[in-house]
Amino acid sequence: MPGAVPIEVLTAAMAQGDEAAFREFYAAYFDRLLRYLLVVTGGNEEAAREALQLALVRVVRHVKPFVAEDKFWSWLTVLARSALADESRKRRRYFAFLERFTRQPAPEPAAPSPGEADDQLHALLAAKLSALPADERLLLEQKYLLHQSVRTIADRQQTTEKAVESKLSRVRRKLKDALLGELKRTQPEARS
Amino acid sequence: MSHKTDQDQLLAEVLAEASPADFRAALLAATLRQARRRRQFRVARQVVGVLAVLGLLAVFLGHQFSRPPVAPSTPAGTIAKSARPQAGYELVRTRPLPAAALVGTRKLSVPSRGWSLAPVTEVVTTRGGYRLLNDNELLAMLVGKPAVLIRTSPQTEELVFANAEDQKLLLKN
Repeated sequence: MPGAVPIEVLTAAMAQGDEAAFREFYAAYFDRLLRYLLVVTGGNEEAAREALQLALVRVVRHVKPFVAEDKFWSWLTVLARSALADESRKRRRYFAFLERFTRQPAPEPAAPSPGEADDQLHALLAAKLSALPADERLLLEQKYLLHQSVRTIADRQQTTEKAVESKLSRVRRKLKDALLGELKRTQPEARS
Repeated sequence: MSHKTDQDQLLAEVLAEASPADFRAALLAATLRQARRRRQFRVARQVVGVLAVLGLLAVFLGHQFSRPPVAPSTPAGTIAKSARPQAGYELVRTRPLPAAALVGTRKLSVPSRGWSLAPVTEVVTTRGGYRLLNDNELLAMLVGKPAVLIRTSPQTEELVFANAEDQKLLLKN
């Protein structure tokens, strides 16, 4: 999912510490990395956010010019996974005594390949969208597929913009809970 | 939702729902701050590197120009250093002084020798060659020289001459 700037230019500028390049990088990769980490952590939002924070620190520290986008994305996922592992290790120190009693160390999660995570999340989204009630699915389609404004949707439903915004927020929250819940169910062995 | 970009947009907004509102902005700000710091550090490191090179160059040039110039011909008999010392050794050349610059010595002949004889008088002092005079013996030595013996305390007396010349004569003898 490269941005408008060629990857070699973007990464070279990032390696030089160019702030505009980092803004561009954020626009192109922040959400994607968060999604990846959500899949890797099995829907653990807090762990994903902490790992993302650490991964971005490492991006700043170690970024170098890349000529191919897929290589760059692979590198980012490696950084994200290692950040997650370090964060988990840090967290496990607090619960080491529990592990000593249970003698069941948490298994390493099966890390999805860089492309798999996105595909898995998109498939889950499609599944959860289709499971929504018709009016909620319609609302999301109007907003995100047909790119209708909230005002237009409100006019069609003969309601207020605030009511539409509120309903959109509720549906998004419902969809998020469903997605994260499904990730937790499908990857019970994931790190917490 | 056929377009993946639409799905991405929806996914991003769905996942951002009920998340800390400023998480993304705060993380971006922290990242930019870190990038700025790293850039400043890199620039500072480059400046320090350039300054170090310039400093070394200045020291080298200063060393080269502050070396005293080598005289074209060194005085006879002095040690002449080679103009440019080579690494690891220093070439030193010597040559003998001319005869005119040498100072020699020779043995004196016997007639020209001299001795000096100093007239020396030896004076020998002996211990206990004196005795104390009593008042009468003292006054007997002063016949013809009017004087009085004045007792100034039980142990001390003073001899006073009427004529100062008599006193001088007595002390001289």
